[in-house]
Amino acid sequence: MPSHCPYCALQCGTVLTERAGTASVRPSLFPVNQGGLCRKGWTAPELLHDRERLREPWVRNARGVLVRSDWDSALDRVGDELRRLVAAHGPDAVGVFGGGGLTNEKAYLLGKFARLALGTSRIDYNGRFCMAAAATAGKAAFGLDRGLPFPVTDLAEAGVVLLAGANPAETMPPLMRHLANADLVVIDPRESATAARAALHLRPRPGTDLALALGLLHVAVTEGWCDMDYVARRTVGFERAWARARAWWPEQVERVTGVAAADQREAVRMLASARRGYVLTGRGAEQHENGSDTVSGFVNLALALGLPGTPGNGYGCLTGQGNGQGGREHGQKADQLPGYRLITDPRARAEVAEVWGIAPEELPGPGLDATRLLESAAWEDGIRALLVFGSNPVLSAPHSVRVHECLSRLDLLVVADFLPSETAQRADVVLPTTQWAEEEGTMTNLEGRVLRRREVLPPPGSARSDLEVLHELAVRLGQDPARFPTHAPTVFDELARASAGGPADYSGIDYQRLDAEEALHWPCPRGTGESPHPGTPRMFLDSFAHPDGRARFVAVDWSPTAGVGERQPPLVATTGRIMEQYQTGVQTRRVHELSVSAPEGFVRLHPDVAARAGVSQDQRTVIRSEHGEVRARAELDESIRRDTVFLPIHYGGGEGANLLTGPETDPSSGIPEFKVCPVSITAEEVPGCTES
Amino acid sequence: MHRVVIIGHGPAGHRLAERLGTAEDTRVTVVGARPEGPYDPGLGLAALTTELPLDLLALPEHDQRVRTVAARAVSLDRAHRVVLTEDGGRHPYDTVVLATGAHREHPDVPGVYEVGGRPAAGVWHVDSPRDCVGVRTALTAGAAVAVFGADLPAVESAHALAVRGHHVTLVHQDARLMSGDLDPGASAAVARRLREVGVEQRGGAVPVELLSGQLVLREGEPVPAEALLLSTGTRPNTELALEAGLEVGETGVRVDGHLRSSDPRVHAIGSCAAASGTERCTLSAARRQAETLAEILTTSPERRYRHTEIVRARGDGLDLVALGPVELLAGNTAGVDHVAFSDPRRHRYARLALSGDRLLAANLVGLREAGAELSRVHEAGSPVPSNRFAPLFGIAAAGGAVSETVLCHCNNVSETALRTAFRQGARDVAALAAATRATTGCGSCADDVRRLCAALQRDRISEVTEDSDVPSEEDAA
Repeated sequence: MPSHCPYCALQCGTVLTERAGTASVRPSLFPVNQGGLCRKGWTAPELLHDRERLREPWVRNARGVLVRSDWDSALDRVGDELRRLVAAHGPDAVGVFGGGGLTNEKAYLLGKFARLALGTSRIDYNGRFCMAAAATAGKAAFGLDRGLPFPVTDLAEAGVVLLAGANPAETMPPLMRHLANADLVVIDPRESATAARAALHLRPRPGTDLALALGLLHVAVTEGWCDMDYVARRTVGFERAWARARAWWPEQVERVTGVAAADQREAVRMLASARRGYVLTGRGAEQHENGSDTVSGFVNLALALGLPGTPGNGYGCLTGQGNGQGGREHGQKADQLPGYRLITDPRARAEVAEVWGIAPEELPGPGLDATRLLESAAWEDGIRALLVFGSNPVLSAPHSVRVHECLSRLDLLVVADFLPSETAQRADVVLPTTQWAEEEGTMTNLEGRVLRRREVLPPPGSARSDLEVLHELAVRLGQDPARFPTHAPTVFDELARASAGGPADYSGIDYQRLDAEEALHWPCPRGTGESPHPGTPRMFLDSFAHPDGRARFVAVDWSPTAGVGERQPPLVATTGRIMEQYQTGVQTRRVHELSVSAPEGFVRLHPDVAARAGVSQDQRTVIRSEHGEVRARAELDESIRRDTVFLPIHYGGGEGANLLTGPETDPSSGIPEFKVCPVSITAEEVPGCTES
Repeated sequence: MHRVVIIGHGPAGHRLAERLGTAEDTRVTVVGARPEGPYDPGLGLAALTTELPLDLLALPEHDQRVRTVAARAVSLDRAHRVVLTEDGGRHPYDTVVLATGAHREHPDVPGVYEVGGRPAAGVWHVDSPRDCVGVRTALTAGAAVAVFGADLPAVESAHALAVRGHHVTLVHQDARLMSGDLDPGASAAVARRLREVGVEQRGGAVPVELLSGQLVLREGEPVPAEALLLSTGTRPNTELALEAGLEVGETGVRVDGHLRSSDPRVHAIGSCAAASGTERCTLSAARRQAETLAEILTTSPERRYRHTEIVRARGDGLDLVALGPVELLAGNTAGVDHVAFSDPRRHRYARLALSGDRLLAANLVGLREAGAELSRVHEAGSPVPSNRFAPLFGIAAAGGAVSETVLCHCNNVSETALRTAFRQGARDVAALAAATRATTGCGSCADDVRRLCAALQRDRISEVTEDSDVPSEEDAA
């Protein structure tokens, strides 16, 4: 049975075989992976049979212990409590927290459930921690955000690809097949697996990526690499962006970023003189309190060189989560309605309300971004209940210490998941759900292509699809059952209708076309003539999505942030991903082969930093920030900057990287600061250990 | 409403107005704004070499809340807290900021200036972006240019023009280049770098007259000069401050850590102020003073300006960095260690003055990574790398994160695992991939696996032909 890997946004094609109730997987020749698969993909079927798989609902009893329950009791308890809270405190007392791994159908129905069944404005999702900055910057520049506005396979023709804060060799290895012919310019403070393959590696001090982007634009302009004809014909706002970049000559940027001026010049020269060139951003550029400005800085560079919307060139964001793209289009985002439309747009409200059979006034307004949503549990008028679907904010949200505190204030925490994540373990009610090979649905990968997910195995125990869970809860909240279908194709058809006319228009897509293996990239509106719309693999070739058809330069500037001054701080922690793990590791830490080769958290640091801290290789260390501390094993690395230590995000307990991070978020996109956190480091004192 | 009057609209005054323009409860007036400008002196060098239209060289316009007055300030009346301008305007203030900049010192060479002080035809000033555009437009390909001066802008512009293909002669009266910033070794390395790109140099030379097409020296051949670029130093504009009775030193208006003059309501930044403690205020320093003062006047009155001396030449291939006081690079100061490196053939040079693991001063020529890294070390005040040669010759290659024996990182397949699979019957790349998953991730190990497979096949054939039944050693590895 054709399938797709359950993990990252590449959504590698696989063939899933079921034998005697056990699934096995092999890669297919699907274009994004062309027969490749990383070890996460190869071992994914193990998750289907995990010992700790949630098989039945769990409910916390009067003594505070989670005990096995049945569906009716669990759902009744949630329904009763939600009705009580809404009646007593209004609908905004209930928050909904979604995930970028949910299928399009689930994401859509979750948004509808929140706005319609609960009437709350307070819904957001973990994609806010992930690509929100690129989404904001993409919309500002192009009028529309699709991670890659071109098929991944186009990258194979590139001469030069600049990767800003992206490490695909580690996070999505099969993507590297498409980059094998290109010279890579990699921007990363550490020698990542991707940087190790770079023709040129720029190593900025964490938190100064925007200054570097401004420096690259400065070089492009002052050394004559700008495509002034393109800038004049296809863009607006160059002068204002230049007015900021003007002051960032490369030697000034060198002083702030630590990247040699000569390397900045070389990077621009390579990219500008390549026959085909791309600029791609990843979490390293995005997850900052100036994240959307930083992405805009790189988009400005791409625009100045005339890359976006010209054949064989472009700008793109490497989306992270499996359905990171689709997850942000169908209405689980605080400010959005299906079709990637703004909830504040009267026309969008009217159109969606019509599909939903309600009056536009009944739709709530915009809610709180994910970080604020969690924080609001501590507010007078904040949330008192939280429903979490397919997400693990206990580990993934910034400032863990505060998150723990906030969650413990809730009257009700409900978690729908298929594994006992750190968040599920704190829940009052845990609802077991189906996962990838046990359900029907669609995902949208990083190139905006809609893909089918298929049921191969029956779910274990009494696990149910999230669609069924939402249906049952909606009924308990007094909704017409027909408004919350549980049949995935039916939900998809409604989603497609609700998206019609929006930027992410799915109205021309249906399961039949997908099952026929059509490569459908949105927008794909319902055709008016004989033949159906073929989808849009390449966007912006004629015009950008702003009303005047032109892309926008956004005037951005770097200034010292809370984490990084021009001089301070001496040592910062930056967080990231490793090959073996996915997201907070809830899934991958349970896969034997993966956990054997990456069993525990660690901190990677330069030998000089280690020597000053009195730490040696493999020694347990304590990393402290203003917000908390992490204990982890030391890994010495000559290639990392002397002012930077690195921690992976995939571990829980005392190794959770977000124990260190603070509450700062980007004002435009709500993305948290994950990449810059001032820290100190010492050796862990072993109790009772004396020198002898 | 806090009334701030800024006198002068060069880079320092402009940056301050930009930063204060959006502050609440602050009304900013800039006096001395020129109608056609201001142009960004930071872009002069770029204008010398690239065709940049004048509008790209302009400093951006301010927020509409900032009032600009074109007239020059003629008096600072501290008693009444008012700035008087030549057009009779009176501009009352709560705080006044002197950003009056500096004026050029004109060399006394007949033919360079006309009567009345205007430069003669073909004479340009390197510190004026307009002039830089002018000289680029005026010069034809390969034209002969003389640059007169020994300071950083002279070196930078000579280098830039030579790289652009002009026939450049750098003329200076000093015995060596940038003696205020560089030790003799570094000066020599810079001179060699310039020579390499074709800059002729006449050190210790005294120009006596500019004739049409040539600069005549007291000794030796005249220097061909279709254009003459001047970079002969500046003096701070302190007349207004002196008249107002403020304390003024050799290098400008005296200021404290809050960039405050002897009158707490009067601040001074940029080239007219003595904040840098040196004669020249770099653009970087001027900008940082403006940014710091903006904070002091709005959100953080306690902020202090801390000067970090970093001289960084601009231009591709110059790779020149000078950190800290140059005096520390010479002689034997107690407690100061020197690390030195000289590579005359490749025009590379380094001298570091250290106290323990702290960097006190450095000169670096031709070492691009070291320049970047040690500038950061100097700026942050962090310890120098324990391996003092590491930054000089580039950062060490990849560390121990990836094990040597793992061929396929994506699927964690070691060479040993591949050999084992081969022995167990996987005799070609496809079979090895099927058995171990090697090559199925990013695919970058495909060549390695192919090579290994070919080697194993060869070994096997030779084993077979030699009719050996001894298992090969490598299997045990």
